[in-house]
Formats: sequence, C-alpha cells, structure tokens
Amino acid sequence: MNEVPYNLLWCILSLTLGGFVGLAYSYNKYVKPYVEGNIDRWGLISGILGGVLFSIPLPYNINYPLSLFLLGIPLGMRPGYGRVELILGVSIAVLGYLIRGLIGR
Amino acid sequence: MELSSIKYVIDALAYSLYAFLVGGLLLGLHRKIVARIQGRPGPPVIQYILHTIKFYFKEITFPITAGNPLYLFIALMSIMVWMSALYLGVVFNTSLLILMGLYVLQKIVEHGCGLSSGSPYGKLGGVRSVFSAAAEIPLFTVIGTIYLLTKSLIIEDIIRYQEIHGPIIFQLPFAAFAFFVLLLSKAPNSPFAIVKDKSIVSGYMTEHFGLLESLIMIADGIAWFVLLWIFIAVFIGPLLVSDPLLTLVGMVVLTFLISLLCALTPLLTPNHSVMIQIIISVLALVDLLRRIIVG
Repeated sequence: MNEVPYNLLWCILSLTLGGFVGLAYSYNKYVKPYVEGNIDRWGLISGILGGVLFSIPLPYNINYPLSLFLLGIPLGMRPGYGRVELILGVSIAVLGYLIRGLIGR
Repeated sequence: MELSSIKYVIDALAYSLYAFLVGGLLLGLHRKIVARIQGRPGPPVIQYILHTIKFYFKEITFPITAGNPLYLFIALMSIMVWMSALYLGVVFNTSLLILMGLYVLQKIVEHGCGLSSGSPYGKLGGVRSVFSAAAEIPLFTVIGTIYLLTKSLIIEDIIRYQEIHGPIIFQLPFAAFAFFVLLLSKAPNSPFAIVKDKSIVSGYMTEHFGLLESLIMIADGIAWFVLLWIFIAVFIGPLLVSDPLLTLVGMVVLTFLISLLCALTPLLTPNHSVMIQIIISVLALVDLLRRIIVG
C-alpha cells in the first residue's frame, strides 16, 4: 500500500496557495494585461527568498513548503509578469540544492 | 469510531486532495505549454484549480430539458469512478482489469452527462464519447500483452517484475505506445479530443454548471494523475514509482511531451480520430497474437 506523501502534499499545497497570493497581488497592482520585461520588487524578493530558503535545512523540513510558497508568488502572477522573478528564484534553488549536494549535508 | 478508522479516512481525503492538486497543476501546465508554443502567454498554471474553486461556489441551474436524477447523479459518479481508480490503482496497486473496468465506467459518465442535459451539444459530446470507445481496444490488448509477459495483472506484481527484469517499456514498446495514445486521447486539446471539441461548445460538459461542473473538473484532475501514475508504474516501474518525488518528475515530463503533441497537431474529425485509434488497436492486437503464437 502506498502511504500518503504528506511532505509532498504540504509542498504542493504551499505552491498553490503562493500562486493564489501572486495572482491576487498582480491583478490588484497591474492594470495592463501583459507587459514583458517588467520586474516586480516584491515578486523578486519572494523569488530570491524562496530560492535561498530551499537549501537551508530547517526542522521538520519546513523550508521546502515555505520556499515553494514564496516561489509560488511569482509563478501565479498574471501572464507576462513574474517570469524573470520565477526563473531567478528557481535557478537559485537549483544551484543551492546542487552545491549542498556536492558539499554534503 | 476507532482512531485507526479516522486515520484511514483522513489519509484517503489527503490522497484525493494530493491527486487533485497535482492533476490540476499538470493540466494548468499543459495549457501553459500549448499556449507558449502557439505564441500566446497562456493562463497561469493554477488556472485549472482556480476554475474548479470558482465553479464550486457558483449557482447550479437546471436546464428545463435535464433528466433528473441522472443529471445530478452523473457528476457524482465521475468523482466516484476516479477516486476508486486512485485508491485501487495508486494506493493499493490492485488489478489492471479493475482499472480498465473503471475506465469503461468513465465512458458511461461522459455518455450520461451528455444525454442527461437534453442539449444538442451535450448529446453530440455523448455520442462522440461512444465513438471514442475505439481508444479502449488498445487498452484491452495492452493488458493482454502485459499479462503474457509478467503472468499477472496486479500492479504490485508488475512493479516487482520490473525490479528484476527492468522497465517494460523496453520489452513492450508498442504496448507502451498504445497506452501513450490512450493518455493522449484523455488530454485536453489533443488530436483525439473529439468529445470536448470547441465546435460543440464543451461537448458533454456543456450543460453542467456550477457545483456539478466543479465536481467533474475535480474528477478530471484526479483522472489525469491516476492515468499518468499507471503509465509510469506499468511501463517504467520502481525506477520512478518507488519515490513519490521521482514519480512527480516523471508526470511532469509526460505532461510536457503530451502538451508538445497537442500543440503541434490539429484536432482530427471524429471519423479520422476513430479510424486512427482503430488502426492502433489492430496493430496492438496483431502484436498480442504474434506473442501468443510465437511464445
């Protein structure tokens, strides 16, 4: 019998909730439907924080859901917004994960 | 009620939520990839989940031509079918035959949805769903071919077989291809998606509104998760399915491939869609017969 992957459930739930927050924030802030090249300050901060937090070991692995919540914010922003912030955040997360893997936990 | 029973109920609901969220995000990713290939920005990845929640709280209206209680019951039946498939397939790794039976039940859901509303669009969607039962013949032959190889139809045994002999996708590539076409036929905007063709508005779902539409969308999200999981478990095996995170990665890769195909191919006419699916079924049947005769 396959047990419920609760750790992944919290991560997916956090990602989804972050997406909702990002969508609500971007629709309230931006009137124009699609603008490329615009970098949102709070989206950038949440993306970078999310990427950094991904590699920081915390009790009960709480860093993963928190990090995915923060990365979900630029992911969920309205189309045309949050792309650069998301790519930056994911790149930092992947880089941090690889460095941590090379150094050893 | 014992504590262990309460725990089982919580676990069951948690797994359903997990399957719906993963399925919903993957369907959102599918739409995003299709849109990007078409040169559009596309909706947010969470759009599918947003729509489901939005419809959940919308008012239900009953068309004057709706045939109750089928009109109401069929939406509940769609949830029942895919939650059963989730528990029997993904959680308990039981028989592929039961899952095939549940897949056939889904045809009844599509048919019932379309016909119960009394709308001409729904009726066309329901009738096309019956046409597209041609996609299930590969399922029968794939199951037969897998049985010939592994001597079992229990998913747990098939996974254990692959621990020793390696992934079945390399031993039965045509069976994997036939199952992949089945997955493709369930994907939105696929060349075989005649059931929810835009020329018939939303096909069998056209006249189901509000909460009922939300229930059908929840079922479709869980269905996407279950079908991807079964493909990975049966054809790739413990390499991916032993770790839930690797299974997720496999699902994302499969969704990406399917999205590429959906974006780059046109929607076939119902006749062509059925014709191609029957050709694949015949080839899969020939493969099965060859294996029976040759040994």
